[in-house]
Parts: sequence; C-alpha cells; structure tokens
Amino acid sequence: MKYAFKIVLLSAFIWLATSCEEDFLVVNDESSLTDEVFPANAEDMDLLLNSVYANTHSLGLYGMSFLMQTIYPLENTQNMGFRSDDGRNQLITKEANAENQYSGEAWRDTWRGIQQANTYLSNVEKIRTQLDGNPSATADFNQRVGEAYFLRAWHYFMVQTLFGETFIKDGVGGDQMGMPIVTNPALSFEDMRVQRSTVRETWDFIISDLMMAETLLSGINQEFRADEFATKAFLGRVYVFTEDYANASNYLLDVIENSGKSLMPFSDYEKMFYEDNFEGDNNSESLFEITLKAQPGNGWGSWGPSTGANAGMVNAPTYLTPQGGRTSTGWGNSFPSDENLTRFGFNLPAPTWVDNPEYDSSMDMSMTNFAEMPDPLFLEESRNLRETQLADPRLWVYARQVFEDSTGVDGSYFRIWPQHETPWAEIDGLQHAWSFNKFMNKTRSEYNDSVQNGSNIFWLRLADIYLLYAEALIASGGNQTIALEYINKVHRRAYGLPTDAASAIDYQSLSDNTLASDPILSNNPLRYERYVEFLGEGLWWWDICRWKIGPEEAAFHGTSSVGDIIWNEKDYALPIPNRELESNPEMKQNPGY
Amino acid sequence: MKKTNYCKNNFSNGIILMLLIFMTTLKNGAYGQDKVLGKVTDIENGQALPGVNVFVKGTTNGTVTDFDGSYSLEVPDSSGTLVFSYLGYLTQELYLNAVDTFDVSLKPDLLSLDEVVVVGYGTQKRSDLTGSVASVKGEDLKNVPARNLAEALQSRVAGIQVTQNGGRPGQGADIIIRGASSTQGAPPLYIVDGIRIGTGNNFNIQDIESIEVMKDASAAAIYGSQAAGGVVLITTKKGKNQKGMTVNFNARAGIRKAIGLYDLLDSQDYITAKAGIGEIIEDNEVNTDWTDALFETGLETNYNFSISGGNEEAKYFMSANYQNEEGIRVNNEFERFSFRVNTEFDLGKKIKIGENLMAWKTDDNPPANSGGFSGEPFSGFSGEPFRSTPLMRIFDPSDPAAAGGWAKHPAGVNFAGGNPVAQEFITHQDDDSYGVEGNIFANVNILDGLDLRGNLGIQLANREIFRFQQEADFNGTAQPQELRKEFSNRQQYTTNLILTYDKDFKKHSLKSMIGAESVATFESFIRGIASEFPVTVTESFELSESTTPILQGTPVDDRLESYFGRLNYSYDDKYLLQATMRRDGSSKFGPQNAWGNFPSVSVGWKISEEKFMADSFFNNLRLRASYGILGNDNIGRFRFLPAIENINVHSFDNSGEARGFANVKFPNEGIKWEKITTSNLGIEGSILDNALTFSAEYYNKRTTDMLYETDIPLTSGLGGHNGNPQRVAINLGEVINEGFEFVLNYSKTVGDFSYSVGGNLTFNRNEVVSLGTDNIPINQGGGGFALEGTITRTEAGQPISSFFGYDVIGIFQSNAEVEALNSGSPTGIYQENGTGPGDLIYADTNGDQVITPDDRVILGSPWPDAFYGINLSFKYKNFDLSMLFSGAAGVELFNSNKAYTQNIYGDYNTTGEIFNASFFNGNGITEQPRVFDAAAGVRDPNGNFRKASSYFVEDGSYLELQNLQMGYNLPSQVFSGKMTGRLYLTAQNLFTITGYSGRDPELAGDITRRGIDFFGSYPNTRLVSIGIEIGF
Repeated sequence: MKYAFKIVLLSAFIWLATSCEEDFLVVNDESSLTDEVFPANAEDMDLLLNSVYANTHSLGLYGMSFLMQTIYPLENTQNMGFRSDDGRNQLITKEANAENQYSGEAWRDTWRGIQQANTYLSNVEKIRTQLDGNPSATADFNQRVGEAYFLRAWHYFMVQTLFGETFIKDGVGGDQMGMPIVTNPALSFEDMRVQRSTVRETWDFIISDLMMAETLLSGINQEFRADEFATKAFLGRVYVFTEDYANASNYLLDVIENSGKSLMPFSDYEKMFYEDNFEGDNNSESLFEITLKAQPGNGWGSWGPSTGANAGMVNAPTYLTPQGGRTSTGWGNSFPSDENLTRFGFNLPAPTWVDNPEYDSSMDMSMTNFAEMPDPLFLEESRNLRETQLADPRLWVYARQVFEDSTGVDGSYFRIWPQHETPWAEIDGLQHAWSFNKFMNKTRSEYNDSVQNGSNIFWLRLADIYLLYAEALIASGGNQTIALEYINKVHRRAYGLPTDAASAIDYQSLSDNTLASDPILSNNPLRYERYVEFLGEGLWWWDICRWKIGPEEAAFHGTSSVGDIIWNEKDYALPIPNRELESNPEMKQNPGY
Repeated sequence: MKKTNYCKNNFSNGIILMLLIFMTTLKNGAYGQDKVLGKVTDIENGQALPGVNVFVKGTTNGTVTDFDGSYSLEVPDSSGTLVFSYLGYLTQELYLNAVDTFDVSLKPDLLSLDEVVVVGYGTQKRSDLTGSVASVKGEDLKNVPARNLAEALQSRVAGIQVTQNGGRPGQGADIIIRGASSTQGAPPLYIVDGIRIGTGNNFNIQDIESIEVMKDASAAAIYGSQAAGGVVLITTKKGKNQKGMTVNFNARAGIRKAIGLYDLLDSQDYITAKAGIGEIIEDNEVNTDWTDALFETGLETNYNFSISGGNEEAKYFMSANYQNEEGIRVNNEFERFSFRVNTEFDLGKKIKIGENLMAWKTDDNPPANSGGFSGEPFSGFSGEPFRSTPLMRIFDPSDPAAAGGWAKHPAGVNFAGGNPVAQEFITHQDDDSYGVEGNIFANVNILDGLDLRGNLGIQLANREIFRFQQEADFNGTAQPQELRKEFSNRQQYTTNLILTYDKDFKKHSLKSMIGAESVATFESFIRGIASEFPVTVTESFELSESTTPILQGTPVDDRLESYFGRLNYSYDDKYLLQATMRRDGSSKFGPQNAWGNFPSVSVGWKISEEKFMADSFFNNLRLRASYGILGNDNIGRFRFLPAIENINVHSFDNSGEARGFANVKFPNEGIKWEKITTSNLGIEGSILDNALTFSAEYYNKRTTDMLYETDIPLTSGLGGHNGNPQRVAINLGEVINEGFEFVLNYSKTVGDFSYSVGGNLTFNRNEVVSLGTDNIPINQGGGGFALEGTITRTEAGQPISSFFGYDVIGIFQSNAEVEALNSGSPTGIYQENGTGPGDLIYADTNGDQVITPDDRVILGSPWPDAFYGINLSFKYKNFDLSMLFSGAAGVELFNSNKAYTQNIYGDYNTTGEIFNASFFNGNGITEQPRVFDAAAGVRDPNGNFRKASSYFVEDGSYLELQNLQMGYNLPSQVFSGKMTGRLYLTAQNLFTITGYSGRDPELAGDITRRGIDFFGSYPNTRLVSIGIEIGF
C-alpha cells in the first residue's frame, strides 16, 4: 500500500512535470507575418507595393514635413510666425545640425521606402516562377515590378538630392559622396553597415532602376501609378540634373511629343492645387503625382497611417475671425517671405493699417465688416497690379493676399489677415505676411478630416518637362529658339494666352527682362519661369543646389524673423542624422557638419 | 489555439493531481498515548505568548499555543524532545520526562537567528542561510504610508536602491538591487506566497507578514532566468491557532503637497523677460499663476481592516483595504479597494491545504495624456506648466468658442500653447483595473521528512481605459473630439510541484528539494477609437458620426517552463553547504536559445559555534560565501522573429483605399539570456548579548551577454508607418557591479525607555567592461525637447549610462576671445556662427580647434558611490518615535530644467533666474550664459541651452527624512477587555538636505535616462498624516 501510494505520487509528479507538449514554449506573434509565409503570391506582392506608394506620403516626405517644414524653410519660401521650432529655424538660417528634426525625418522616411521597395524586389523571382505559363498574369506582375523599380528610384532621388554631398556641376562632383547603394533587405548586422557610394554611382543607380522601369512599363498608361511616360519624364529630369543633356533631350522630347499631355488652361492650373477635380486623368499635364485623399478618422494626419497629408495644416492661411482676432485654419506657422512677392513683380511696400470708417462695432466682423484695413491707396495699387497683370498672375496661385483673398471655414468665408503668430507691431507698415495657397484648403479648416488634406502633389508635370527641355537645349548649345519657345509656352499659359502662339508678353531672348529685379532672376527667363511656376511645389531647392546659387539666394533674402541667413558651402547638403552615424560606423557625415 | 487549450489542460491537470493527492492520503488519524500541556510566556514581562509552535522534535506532531499561551499536545511516549519555537524568540527545547506539565518562558531573540525565513520554494532557518537574504518584517511597515512595496523597502535594506518615481497617485517606485547590471534594466522578480505576481499599486502592503530579498546568486538562483535583478519574496499574513479572533482596524488621513515646484514669472516679470528677448508685449491686466492653478493639496485616506484567528484544523486571515489618493494636480485621483482571504486547513496530520487570494480594484483618473493605452507612449506633462503665459486667463466665459468657456490664448502674445488647466478637465479619463490573484496549495507529508507540495497560482486581471478628448481650441489649433476605449485582459497560470526530503543522521543534516514549474501568460487587448460626436462628451461609440471607427488589438502569450533542485547539507550545525540548479525554458528567446541553466553553490561557517569561540565576546559570528549564475530576460517579445506588418494605407484613385504591408523588423535569431555571475562574501554577528548586531558583505556581479535593444541604422529602412526602426535585441558586452554592504543595529532598554539605532550603507561601483568587439558606445536618454540629441552614453570603462556632452570651461568674456579661437579654427568658426561674449566655452577635447559632436565627453554618473538608510526609534512608556533617513552620496544629476528656468524656451514661461543671465536686461557678464543676442536678434545663438554640457550637471547628493512616525498607545484604562488603541502621526519626505538646485534630487528613471531631471515629470510629494489603530 505504501509503495503503491508512492508510485502513484511519483508518476503523477513526473506526468505533470513533463506533460507540457514539445511546443509549450512556442508562441507566435499573432499581429505579424514571417517571411516564410509572406508574400505567398502576386496579391501579397501588391500589399507590399502599396506600402511603397504609401511611403511617398509618410510624415517625413509629402505627408507632412518634406515640403512645408524642410523645403520651404530651405529655399526661404517661408518666413516664420511661430518662432519656436528649432528645426525650421535652423533650415531657414542655414544652421542645420545633425540633430535637425526635419532632415532626420526625411532621411528616415526615404530609407524606409527604399527598404520596402527592396523587400518587394527581393521576392520578385520567387513569385514570378509561380506565374510561369500564365502570360497575362505575368504581364500584370511585370508591370507592378516596373512600378517598384520606379519607386525605388523615386526614393533614391529624394534622398540623394537632399543628402548627397553635391550635385554634379560643370562635370565636377561625381566623385564626391552620394548615397549607399542598398539593393536587398538586410539579413545581418554587417548588411546594415552600409557605406556611401559616390554621387555618380548613386545617379547611375537611379538611372539603371528607371531603365528597368522603362522596359517593364513600356506601353503602360495608367492613372495614379508609375507608367511609361512617368518613367521617361523622370529619366529626363534625372539626365538634366546630372548634365547628360543628350539623353535628357531625347527623353524629354519623347514625353512632350508622345505622352499625350498638354498644359491646362490657366483657370484649371490655378485650381489644380486644391481641387480634386484636377487630379489624375482629369489633369492633362500631370505625369506623376502623389495621390492623397482626406479620410477622416484615419489617423491624425500623417502621424497615423493615412491616405491624406497634413502638410496643409502646417502652413495654413490666417483669417480675420468674427471677434476680430487672427486665427488660422491649421497651425499656420509661417507665411510667404515678403521678398518673394517682389520676384513676381509685386513691389509695393507693406501697407499701413487704417481704421475702417464703415465698421459697425455692434456686429461681428466679417467679409464686409472689419475694424481695420490696409491703407486704401495700397489696395488700389495692388489691385491694379493684379488686375492688369503687371505682377505675375501666378503670385496669387502661390499665395493668398491679405485682405483681398478669403478662406472658408464651416461654410462661412473670412478675409485673409496677416499671419496670426506675428506680432502686430511687426506687421503694420512693415510686413505683408500673406498666406500660402498651394495645397491648402480654400473652403474648409485643415482640422477637418482628421487634419488630412487630399490635394495631390504634382511631382512631375508637363510645365516642368518644357522647362527642363529648354534648359537641356540651352546648356548643350542646342536650338535656342526652340528653348525660348518652350519657356514662352509656360509663360503664356500664366497670362491665360494660347500656349502655342506667339504673344505680346513673350520673352524675346534667353536674357530678356523678367518681372523680378534681383540678379538671380531678372535677366534669366528660364530661372524666372522655374521659380514662379513651381514655387511652393518643392522644386526650387533642387534648382538652387544644382545651379549652385546658394550664396546669391541667401544674399537676396538676407534675413528672416528667426535670424540672418548665413550661407556656407556645406549647405548644399543636409547633415546625415547623428542617429545614423551613431549606429552605422561606416557612414560618413557630409563635410562641414 | 491548440496551445491555449493545452495550457488550460495543464492547469486542470494540476487540479486533478491535487485532488488525487488528497484522496490517496485521506486516511490518517492521530494515535496519541500521553498528553503534555502547559503555558508559554515571555521571560521579560511574563505575558502569555499565543501562536507558539510546540512540537516533538523530528516529527510533525505539534500544536500551537492558544490565546492565553496554553497548549496541550498528545505525545507518543514520554521520550523525545519538545520544541517551542516562536518568531522573534529563541527556540527552546525540553526533554520529555514523566512530568506532563511544562510551563515555558521564551527569551526574545533580537537577532532572530532561529527565525524561519522564506527562501525560494521552501523555508530555512536564518542561521542556516549561506546566501545573502535580507528580511523586512511586516511589523516594520505597519502604518508606514508607503503606497507600494518598493517604496516600503526604501532605505530599509542594504544594497537596494529605491527611488521614488514622482508623486503621481498610484505610481510605483524604482528599485535596483546591487547596481544597474544591464542597459535593459533588470527588475526584481516578485513572488507572493510562492507565485510570481506583480506587486503594483493594487497590492496592500499592510497584508505583508514578511519580505525576504534574495540578493546574491545562492539565494536567487533557484529562480533562474528572471532573478538577475534579485528576488523579493513576500509572505502575507496568516491566521494562528488562538482563542477568539484578532481584529484590527486602522484609519489614516493626511495631506500631500508637491516638493519644490518652480515659481514661474508673473505678468510683470514675464513682460520684462520677454522684452529681454525682443518680444514687446502689452500688459492686459491678467495675471494667472498657472502652477498654483494646476497644483493643489491632495488628501489621502487609507482604511485597513483585518481579522484573523483559527484553531488546530483551520486558520484564517482576512483583510479589507481602501485607499484614496487625491493627486496634487487638479482632476487627478487614485482609489484602491482590496480584499484578501488567506486560509489554511489541516486535514489530519499529513495534509495541509489552503489558499491565499486577493481581489482588488483600482480606479485611476490620471493626468491628461499620461498614456496607459497599450503601446501608447506617455505624452502628457505632469509637472509645472512652463508652457503657459500669465497673461492668459484660465476661464473666460465671454468666449464660448473655446470649449466650455475655457480661455484661449491672448492677443498680442507670442504664445501658441494650450490651456494647461482646461486640458486636465476636457480630457476625460478613467483607468479601471480589477482582478483576482493568489494561489491554492496542498502539502502532503508522505513519509517522515518527505513532503510534496503542489501550488496553483492564478492571476486574472481586467483593465478598462477610457479617454474622451473634448473638442477645444485654445490657440488656433483645434483639437478634435476623440473617444478611445480599451479593454485588456491578462491571465497567468502557474503550476508548480515540489518534493522535499529532509533527513538528519547524527551530525549530518540534509535537506533536498526538486521541483518543476510552468507559467503560461495570456494577454490581449481590444481598443476602439472614434471621432466626431454630436455631443460634448460621451462614453459610447454609438453616437459617433464617423464612418471609420478604428479597432485595434492583438493577443500575446508568454511561456516559462522550469525544473529546479536544491540540496542543503550541514555538518555539526557548523559547516553549511548549499547547491542549487535551475533549468528554464522561455518563449522570449527563439527555439535555438530557449533553454538556460542557472547553477549556484554556497558555503557557510558558524564560527561562534566552534569550541575555541566559546569564551569570545561574540554572541554570534558567521561567515558565508556564494557563487552562481542568474539570468535576465528583460526584452520585448518575438525579438527573434521577422515581422511583416500591416502598417500603411494608400489611396490610388482618390476614393478607394488599399492597405500596405511591410517588413518592419530586423530579427535576431541568436538572442539569448543575459547572464549575471555573482559572487558574495559575508560576515555577520552580534555582541553585547545580541544588543549590537552587524553584518558586512562584499559582492561582485558580472553581467555578460548583456541584453541590449540597439538602434539600427536608419538606412536599414525598417520600422513602422512613421517611426524609427524597431530596436533589435542583441547580447553585447560586459558590465561589473561591485560593492560592499554594511548593516549595524543597536538596541537597548533602560527602564521604561528603550531605543534602537540602526543603519545600512552600500557602496557600489559600476563599470562597463566592454561593449562587444567594436566597443561602439550606446547613446540614449533625451532631456526633454530643449536639449538636442541624447544625453547619456554607455561606453567601456565608464559607469553604465553616464552623462555625455560638451565640457564647459568657462564663459566668453569678450569678442576677442571668440575671434582668437575662430582664427585658429580650420573652418573659421570655433563653436557656432553667432557665438559671442556671454556664451559657454566648450572644451576642444580632440584638439582639432573646432567644436563638433566628437568633442563630447563623459560628464558624470547618475549612480551613487554610496547610498544609505538610518533608522532611529525611541520608546518611552506609551510614546514612541521613529525616523527613517535615506541618502545618497557621490552622484551626479543632469538638471535639464535649466534650459527652462534660466532661459526662455520657445513660447514658454520661465523663472526669476532668467534675470541673472549674461547681458539680459542690462546685465553684464554673469555666472549664467546669455539667452539672447540683442544685436542679431537671435535667441541663444551658441546653443547654451540646446547642447548637453557640463553646465547642466550637478552634484545630486542628499539626505532626506524619508519617514517619521510618532505614536501614542492609549492607556489600557481607556478600553475594556483586551482592546488596544494607538494614535499616530506619520510623515513622508519631510525634509531634504542637498546642494542640488532642481526640484528634488530623488530622481528615478529608466537605466538609460537615469538622473535626467525634466520638469515634465510628476513632482515628488511630501505627506503628513494622522491615524488611529484599534485592535481587540
């Protein structure tokens, strides 16, 4: 009995102690997939590709900071009302350091896109073999693969143009530091210690990806995705940026002649930056755009995964409230630098403000009832500039004028008023402080729709192709007449004229006078047109860097509300974030930081 | 899902097994022949001692004295030895003879060497311990206003550094046992009544009978893989065999106040200060003190009620507790209800079964945006409202545009912040948790010396977090409505089975134990998020107008499977040897490295038992030494698995939506346990009739394969939708913690007066020996937003996570000085473009004549060279007074608050210190760097308050009166019968002596941001409370 009892207990003990099954210790991460099971098929591959597209509007790219908090400050498109953002202040005064928030976000987010494209591409062979024997499925798949190459090139272009040590100028600079060439997802710690290639190698890599895309997307014409002419246009831009004018001319001309794109009339052009009607197929001049959709509840702007961008919120317009205060439809942190207005031919000094004799203090302020107003003489002159097109009409596409323009909030419209965070003492008689217009809501608060804005970003459009083609012709000593004609096409459209017919406002030469009076733009229609046509779209910083006109630009702007602008040679490249340098011993900082 | 079922099976297997044990053994009865009886009293005062264990030596035949100290026990025959043992008294043995009445007087044992202490999976006599085990008695914690266990341990045990983690209601304290061994941290393992259980803010410390802290490997290694940070064993109160029941009621109420809040500028000074940085503001006649509006005196009440009692067959202890803490911030409150029942039943002589169960509920109304949701970081600020302006009203009923009449920011002031007071009220939050936890156990005495004990532990907890963010617009930045609700659930099942065998042969004594244990944890949460409601506040999703509410939630499991054993051998009760072994399998590491072995061995020598010591003045003297290996698994889950996740959404056509999946993680398949090899050498003893006791210990903890979640390069492109790459867990490097611990206690009674003086002192040296083959330093730990980059660095040859930055060698006195340095610089600029007189001069440590991040150096260590506790207590007749001091010496703190108190950061307010800045408002060069370059109109061009530098590093040594208690025992005339009463006053953090200029030098924080003072954290608090205790 005693033994029986002991045996029962002992065996029970052993049973309990060992009864856990072999896989007791195996638990799975239910919220994620491993590379063993995913991607399993072409549909899974699409899910991977969607991420790369979505990454173009991540926080550090077109979702938020790239345009409004990185490029606008860098190219001094903006001046700050809010003055407590070190990140933007540094970019404005050209004192960025390796801890700069916005350069950090741009670096991080471009590399994320590259990884996502690499993950996609590293699975291509595995999935393609599954489709053997199914030509239509293979064709569809190859089209997607072409898009993935395009998107990898796109992300490389973004990171190289911001962080590459230099552009190649006059054939010089190709041997300086470009970006690490990473073509596969890292499998080991060693794989993650990537080294910088040269500028030339980086551009060559971008070109080779685009050539792959060109082949795979040949004959593909699709909305909202990379397609044949998006790729060719992109190649054209890259060749101009790398001074390969022969190839550039070929591709750009191909796009001009065969893409079926045309410049939209001015009335549509001015609306395309904020109205959904001119996106995708309805936009006859867009070659590649970042598609955005405001989707309430889908994250707070770009912080959560979202289909929209909250770039609009950062620099939203300021308006006069019914109580008489100034407020913004978003953060509204900054405003177009006053000196930029002069480049459009708007040369009036900032108005003094006077009491409105018709103000009825018993009623709320409104479009028609306001206590103060700009000096009527100023208003008269400014209306003259605007109505008679003495100032470039594109000024009012780029910006909204204080007092004269309006913005809508919850169905009501209010007058644009000087930037709300700038002390009034710095406004009256001293500063215009208009509001931005491109990519901003005109009818709603930016806070609606979970602070998302659905205005697509036109990343490559025909006007750019025209001007790049003109530039390629000029730089390579090609046909200067044709070059001037393409500059004039863009110019004519701005004045509502037929683009293909000579007009009274045509530039007569490549060094004709422009509306700008500063040495950089005044006698250079090509530069002038690139500036006024695209200001606010993020192209000017690239132009500054590749033409190396940084010192002249800094001198033109001189100072800002957050300090003097001091140019150094190093400023053509942003600093590689410290976080990268500290975790990757192979990474080298750009000189001067 | 298969696995879930499996482990439930395991749990039910355990229950079946226990039933089996009961059934097979429900067959024993007493078989007595003789009966002995008597009474046990205290030798000093003659009072009866209830609850004394009386048993026949070498058998389980025994009983416990009842309320008046009487006992009666059947004995098999009149031979053998009767043992009387009682906690806190010397055990006495009597030979049985023909006499059948034994009245015994026990002598109090100040050393309590024979007290039984709880060790892992068993108990041992204190005198037999060969490892480093410190004990704290529940009695010492009585009426101590500590709000959690760690806080209760503060300064009471050598080698344990407890730091209060801010005074937020319901917040825990930080505890580090014998130095920081890993950048990942190694929290102690808490075991309550034999089961791994968290002892967070739901735990009632008044339920504690005793706490044992296992500090070295010999003591802790039996807990293997999670014991690297030490093990804290908690035994809760049990009933005793006694006549009648013991009832205790205790009520306490007190007030808490924040310690050392900074005074922000009032309107006049604010306008003057802002003018000093070129901002001209008109006075609008408003003068709001936001700190005053946000902070208040918090009332804290605590009620504790317990009953206990029992007889030979059944013993019980029940308690109920209610605690309410009003925070020192507005709209911030914490409440706890807890209920405990511990019972134990003797089924005959062989079987003991019982349970220890606690049911609890906590209800927290936290400060706004203080996180709490799964995976949601803390985003709120609970400190002084530096981002505010005194020119803004709190409430402005005339402006209905802001939510509910809260004031918006004033015109003409460069201020884009919010309304900090309103924020607390328009963020409606509630964080409720409730659960049941505890264990049921059965102990079967199979044969003489052979015992089997089974233990089933459960921990079931639910949490409901609610937050409604009301729509508001204080600064032109509209804050949208959002409802967020999360339900989370945690279940943990522990099964262990332990077989022990004890045997004495002549002078040899053997104790052995083997056991097995499995722990299965299931956690899950579900969270809903919705916006756009037609009402101001709601708790219901049903009213949302949004068509796209968000649902989130994921289940996660953990597993631990273990086998362990221990062997204790002693010879002649003088020479002791212990060996332990544990083998652990954990789901945290991949299949390759799931299993780890954790051995230890230790020896002891009771020198005072030797003949040659018979005449020495030592009452007691023991030496002991131990060596062993402990593990640390403090990393996130699934670090060994790759992860492709659903992270993105994109609209291709401006109408539809497509989800995007991406690779977000770099897995480390080779990740394994961190190993901590510990040696310990101790001596302890007593002299002067045990009035003076002392102990000294040396320890050495060597961490190898240190776990570290490293940053990977951003170029890897891994990471979620919008974040940096997930950190990768790696095993890297080696860290040493080496130290001495000293404990000294002296107590004396002179007539009606008695007193005791005690103290403990710990010296610890921390050094990172290496960080792998590359020795790449680890930079971590930010200091709020004003300071750029990271502030701490872990590098070889330095203490873990030392402060890191530029070394300040002075303040520029003239432009000539600046130009002299600039002219020598290869870039023409030594520091910054705008550097001028009044700016800090940084040392060019690498001699390249230009200041770059490469010039940063180690600036100090947040780890004290020494920390100590001093305990004083006095008793005179009915009065008593006790004081507990705590302190630290040889420690630095990084006062990042200077960037806000001596500088105007952004659109923030500041303190009066701003007026001491160089060149500020007509100043010349002062001791403080300048904050504004008036000529250029630029704020802080040199980055004096942006760059981490030695300017922020201060000595953080302090001495603090941590606890004070004064009591008065009501004279017996007041009550009838056996009723007793006591009135007391207790205080916490009454004063601090320190040279530190910040709020309070007592600063907790993660290992990697230790000692960084940032005003955003909840301030520490001072408590004064009074209480009454009634017992009968």
